[in-house]
Amino acid sequence: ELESRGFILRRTISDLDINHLNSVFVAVGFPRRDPDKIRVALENTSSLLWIEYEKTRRPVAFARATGDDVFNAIVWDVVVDPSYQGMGLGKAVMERLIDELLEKGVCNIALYSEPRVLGFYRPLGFVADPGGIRGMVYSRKSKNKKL
Amino acid sequence: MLSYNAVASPSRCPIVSFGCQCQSSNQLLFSSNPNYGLSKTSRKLKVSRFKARFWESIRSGFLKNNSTQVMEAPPDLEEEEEEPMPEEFVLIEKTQPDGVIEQIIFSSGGDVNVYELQTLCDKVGWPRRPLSKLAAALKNSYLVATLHSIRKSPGSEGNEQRTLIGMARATSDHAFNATIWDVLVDPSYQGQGLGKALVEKVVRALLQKDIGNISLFADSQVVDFYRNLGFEPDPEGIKGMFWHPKY
Repeated sequence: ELESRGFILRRTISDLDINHLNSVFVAVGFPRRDPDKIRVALENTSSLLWIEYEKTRRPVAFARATGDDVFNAIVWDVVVDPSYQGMGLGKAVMERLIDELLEKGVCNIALYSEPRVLGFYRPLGFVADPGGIRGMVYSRKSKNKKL
Repeated sequence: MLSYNAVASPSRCPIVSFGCQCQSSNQLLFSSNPNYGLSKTSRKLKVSRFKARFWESIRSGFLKNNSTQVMEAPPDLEEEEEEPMPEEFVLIEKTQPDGVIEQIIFSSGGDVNVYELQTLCDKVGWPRRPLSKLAAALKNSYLVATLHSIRKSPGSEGNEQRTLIGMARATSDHAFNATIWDVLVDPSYQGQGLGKALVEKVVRALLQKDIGNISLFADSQVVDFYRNLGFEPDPEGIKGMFWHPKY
């Protein structure tokens, strides 16, 4: 279905231009990150999926998950190029990423969602703070306050 | 179990029994001068001023028994990021009334005996997980940190009892993000600040590897525990979400 619209599903970074991917990240509002560091991150990511637009050969959607490949996975960097949003590409990468993780036997799939996209993840089956669990992030500023 | 998140490093070593690396420093550790008694691996450490409140609480708890030495305290925040943290060092050393010396050793080397880990998980009441999966999870983790108790009887000529009493691990992409999973401390060693020490050291190890984003998922009853260690829930409204959780 995707292919008929000119969208190719990819599961490795071999044909991925990191700079093109970085442009998509920046286009959706991520800070511009060092491409070499992005490459290290992708090389150490066990599951990733991206959609290449046939005509431009550029990535238009992306998602990846890190974890221990057995119990836990966290999804990061879910992006769709703004010019290609609203077409179901984000849903497509997420559904297939989840399938891949489930096939590995990973049952605990988590992510951190900005408030404005909670509505994107909910229909995909994600629940916020289940059972009162809270996502927490380390902050050096917080640490200073404690001392 | 979605208890704590711990950070673990992908250990390239096979899962073997924890080997004691302290034998060479037996003599040093029994010295009466606390600053002199540092093992070979902790030579780089300075016993600096006790600034962090939780270290104060550990120390004050032991002041009654003055044969206890807190071997190491975290340096100031600025130093934290400059001084490389050794892979293994003694956190606490105490002498029991019967003369037995017990050391609590922190290690980020990742050598965990998976049978010992299973025993520890049983002790904290976690549901059983297949050993092969436990081993794989550890192997695929970026950082695996452990606490071991080492008990030596006086005059027993190096005969010692080593027990795994705590663990924390983290997964990571080696560049931007790390997530801490599976933080656990043997119930009979809880309440001494060891959990805090474990997480604090894991965070420090990750920061030193330049991982900028350290996250975890905390059950509601331990949110404050992590807050006190510098973690913030829902920063900027960002929510943790789980796919079809068993709740």
